[in-house]
Amino acid sequence: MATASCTIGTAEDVREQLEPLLSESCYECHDDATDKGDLNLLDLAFDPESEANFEIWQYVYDRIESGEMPPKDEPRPDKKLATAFLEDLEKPLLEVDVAKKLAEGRVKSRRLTRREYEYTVHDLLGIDIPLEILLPADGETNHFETVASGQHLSHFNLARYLEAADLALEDAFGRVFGEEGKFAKTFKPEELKQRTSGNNRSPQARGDIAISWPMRLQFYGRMHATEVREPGFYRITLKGVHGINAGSGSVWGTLSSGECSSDSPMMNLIGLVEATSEKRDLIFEAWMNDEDKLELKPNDLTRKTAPSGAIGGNVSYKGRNLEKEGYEGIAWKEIRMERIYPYATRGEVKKNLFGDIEPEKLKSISGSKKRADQFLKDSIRSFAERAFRRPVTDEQLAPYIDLAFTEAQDAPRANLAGIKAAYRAILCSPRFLTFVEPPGKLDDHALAARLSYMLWNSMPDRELRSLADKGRLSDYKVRHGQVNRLLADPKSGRFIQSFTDQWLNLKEINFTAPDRKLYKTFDPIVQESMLQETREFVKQLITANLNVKNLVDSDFAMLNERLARFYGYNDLSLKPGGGLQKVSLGENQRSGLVAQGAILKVTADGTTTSPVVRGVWVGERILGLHIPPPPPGLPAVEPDIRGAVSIRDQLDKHRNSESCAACHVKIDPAGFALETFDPVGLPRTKYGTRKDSASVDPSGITPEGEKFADFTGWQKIYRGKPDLLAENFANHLLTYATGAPPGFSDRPDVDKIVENVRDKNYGMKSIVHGVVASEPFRTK
Amino acid sequence: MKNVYFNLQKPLSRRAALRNAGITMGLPFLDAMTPAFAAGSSGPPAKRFVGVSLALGLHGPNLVPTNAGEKYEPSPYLKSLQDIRDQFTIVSGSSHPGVVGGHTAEGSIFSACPNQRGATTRNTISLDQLMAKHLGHETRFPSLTLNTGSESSPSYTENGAMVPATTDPVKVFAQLFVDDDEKEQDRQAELIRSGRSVMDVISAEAKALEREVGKGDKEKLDSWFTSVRDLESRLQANEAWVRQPKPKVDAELPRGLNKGDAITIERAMLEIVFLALQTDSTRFVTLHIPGSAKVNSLEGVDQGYHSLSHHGRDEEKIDQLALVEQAVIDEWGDFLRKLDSAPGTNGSLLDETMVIMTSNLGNASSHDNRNMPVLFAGGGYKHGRHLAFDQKNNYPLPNLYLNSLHRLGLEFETFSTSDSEMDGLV
Repeated sequence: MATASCTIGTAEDVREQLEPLLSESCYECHDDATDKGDLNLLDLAFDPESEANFEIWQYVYDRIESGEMPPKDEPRPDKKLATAFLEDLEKPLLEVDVAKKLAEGRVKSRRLTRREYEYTVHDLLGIDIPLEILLPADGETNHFETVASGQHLSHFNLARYLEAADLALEDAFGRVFGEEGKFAKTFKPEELKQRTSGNNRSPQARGDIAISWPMRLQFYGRMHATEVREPGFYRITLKGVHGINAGSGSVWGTLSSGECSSDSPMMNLIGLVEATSEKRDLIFEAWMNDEDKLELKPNDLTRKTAPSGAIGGNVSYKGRNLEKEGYEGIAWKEIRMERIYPYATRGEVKKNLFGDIEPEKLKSISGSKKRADQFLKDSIRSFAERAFRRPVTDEQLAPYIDLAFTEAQDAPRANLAGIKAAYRAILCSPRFLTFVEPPGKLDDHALAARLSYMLWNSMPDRELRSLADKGRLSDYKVRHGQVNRLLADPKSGRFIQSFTDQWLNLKEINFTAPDRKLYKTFDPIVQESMLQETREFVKQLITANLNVKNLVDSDFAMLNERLARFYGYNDLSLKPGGGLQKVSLGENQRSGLVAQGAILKVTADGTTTSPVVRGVWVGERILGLHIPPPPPGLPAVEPDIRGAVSIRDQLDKHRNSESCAACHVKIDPAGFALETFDPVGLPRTKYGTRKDSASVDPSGITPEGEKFADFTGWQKIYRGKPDLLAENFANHLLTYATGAPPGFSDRPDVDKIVENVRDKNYGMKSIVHGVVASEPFRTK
Repeated sequence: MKNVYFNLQKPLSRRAALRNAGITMGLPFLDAMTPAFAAGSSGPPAKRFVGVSLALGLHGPNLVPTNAGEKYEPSPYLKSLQDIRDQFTIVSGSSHPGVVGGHTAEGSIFSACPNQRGATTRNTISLDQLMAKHLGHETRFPSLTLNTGSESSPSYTENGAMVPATTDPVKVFAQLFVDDDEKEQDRQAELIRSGRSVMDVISAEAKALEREVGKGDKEKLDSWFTSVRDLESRLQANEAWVRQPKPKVDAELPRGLNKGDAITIERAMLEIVFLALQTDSTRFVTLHIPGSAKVNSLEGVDQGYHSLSHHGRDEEKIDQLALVEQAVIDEWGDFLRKLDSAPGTNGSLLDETMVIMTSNLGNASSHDNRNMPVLFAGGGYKHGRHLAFDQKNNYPLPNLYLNSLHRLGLEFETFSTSDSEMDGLV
């Protein structure tokens, strides 16, 4: 690839052309003697074919192009010189990047994440057993698990793929040929009382209702009778749920499952229970393991806690009238539990495995051997085509057919054993586990896969497959229609969850638990509500095609009664029992995605906040600023929650202004503005509650020099920069959807996406459409 | 009115957790089923390595003695280890050059892979895996990768893939010491056999793909080839081990463990590691205590371990944190005592086993990766000292790793960013 040398001279010539500006403006800080930021430009050759060298020059280009370098207090470089420099540098960088993209593609063989693996196998087979957890966790690169350059394979992964495939197929074949596990039972209040030995922590049975009270014992509210014998999906119907002493409000609780014992204390939150004075049926669906039982209890920590009424770890209701004493409880009439198969009926599983062929015909090779063989081949072909997301040639199919015939020999249910072996190999094949994309424009089948994995986290469905077969997906208008269809389908919930988990780092919501003494009103209900708030908000922005500026400032929020109360909104008219609701916000109410509780929590450590952590988060994830990692060996600020000094003062003292300023000028503004909110997302004006507690100073200056006094001021500034917000969102979406961040030569394509949404009110769905229409999306 | 909620968090079913144990863990090689301690007295001075790593560091002021050398005054954390003072060294003022990023540096604990400038997309091989790669074939399990609660580990393969950790002591114990019945052995053998035939197909597919995709995917396909090869040789070795009886130990399958308590699990895991070393079932082990670890067995501790590590200099929090960290260290100390009292070929088992405890965080409250806590024991070194390096300008910790490779007779010139063997460690 000698493109650079043909058209614009040799690399040495380029380096020569760059010299004037470098020596005028850069060497003073970036030479062999003072290599600030570990950057020595004096001895840096121009060798863009090397990835590392390319990156440094791209970095230099960006810093000079944005005017970030040379630093503000240094003399500006001569305008002409700078323009010439940028042109001289841009051209060879572009050429090298374009040539590389043509020859190799931007994305190098992306593999399914483990979440995508589970969804895909569930859709492929129709089974519902957990598989994600069998595979090693995915790392993240550029914030996303889908990024190919950060995915690494070892024999440990392969062993797990073998194991997961085996388990999945055993389950699918079992569904077709074995007995399907059935279970359905209704539990009356009396039946939910504890009958076994051990501490009694069950709800009260009072006449024809059961009541769970706000007691804080671990596992309080567990119901031994609901213990599950067989792992599986269960539909849990809580009948006649209502709040005791609920008044006109709600009593909030959690429904969880787990073994509920001290040697296995992990609980799995099934969902929130919002009980009002009106009786309602609430339905939940959840995977439960054998020995898991249900636990249901009020969990709003702002409400009065009821004493257990007994010694040790027991509860007792004898002679007590907790209702009269004013405690808020959750009552219900009965609980029904049913085993369900949420993704496919037995008939559908059969169809997924054998198409229209009756498996009875495969079971024995009696009769015509030739016909039985043909059934086997047909089954494997149709399964492989769905698993590999494209038509397969005879040659590609041959190893699987051979394996099936080999395994079928001597096996008892010969052809079935052969088919199962072939399917197992198919599920471990790189054609299934990775995206097969030759360099250049993607073909229709690869496009179908990109679309479907972007918006459904899973394989293309029948309609996408058939459009690909007909070669229709290269037509942008057809893709546009498909984006709308895919987004309208409930499966797009997977996209919202995966994308927000990674883009916004919501997956870290449990990483730290807020200090219970400092943040007394934060409870499991609040945390779960925060997650729902942010996911639902993003969903609204996309499906209703709302302006991207809602990320920093909005006139609505998605809240439930508990969260509104936590945030301190008392004047919103929320319907009790309505769960998460879209509410209009007045002036001066917190708004925008960046000020949502889940965001403020994942950017804090449970005890303290850091403007640096939050500033980097906003910079990288919302504003699209490039922020290099801190140089090693820097002493870090040690948080001090005793209150007398603010983190801002500590940072100021600590920072060697000259060398740190280059990055902190970008990091700090958003971080300072968000100091308005504490580690659990509550507004504050002081650090701590003592008289001498330091005050919060949320003011700052943006890198462009705009001053703001507080968070609202910061919002006002960035509300006016929709281009910036749209570009950032498009970049993240492209990274997530294709498996690699847009490169140097893809920038004009991203600019085009932004340009096209300007007259569409910067709608976020329009950005999704723009991404799907873009060159990087339709090219490897 | 009806609301349908859908729950997406699905824990692993028991059924899934207990399957295919023979394939997932261990995966030993075939070539030499050398009996325990066969190397005799002429071999290298050390044979084994155990790395205990912590995600949340150890509170520096409680750990680091105020003075250096042999006559160091024990720090609060080291007081309980004074009976075995001569068996370990405390190293202060050292860390991995170029490793930054707070929690995200966990992957570099034993690889020392510099991650500045976003070079994190591919980790390099960790110390334990490098040792196992060269010496692991001599035992049933080339290495053990353990964690008290999550499957993350600081062990990485040459491809830069994380080795998933085993978290359940019962499962580890069963794999090491409980013979499967004949039916289960048959099933294992069948899984291994069919697994190998699947690998043949996968290998052919990767070759076919090489022709279909561009050269940009070559590196990725190469990792398929190596992974298939590695798994094949391990399946082949396992085929031979499936019917080999496991060593008998004087211990029971651990029952009724409090899985919500990292200290309990650390103790159980180290007990099993001790038995594994004693029976020469493996020689290279890592045990990680993750940031998500819960501790609920200690009196006086009513806050979360991770939250406590963010103490913000609050004294009450630091006091509670100290109780947790002391317990973590004391379990490590008990492990050393056990190794010390067990005979090896020459001297005690501890003399032939290098045991380290360290963390990617020197200060968890500020997420600082400098000044990593380092306790280093066994391996026939001259211990009983505080090697104090510069807290402001850290000494490279990879030098200790290079040293430990040499102890095993692996004559590498460097390990990651090492520039020599560690000064003062003899």
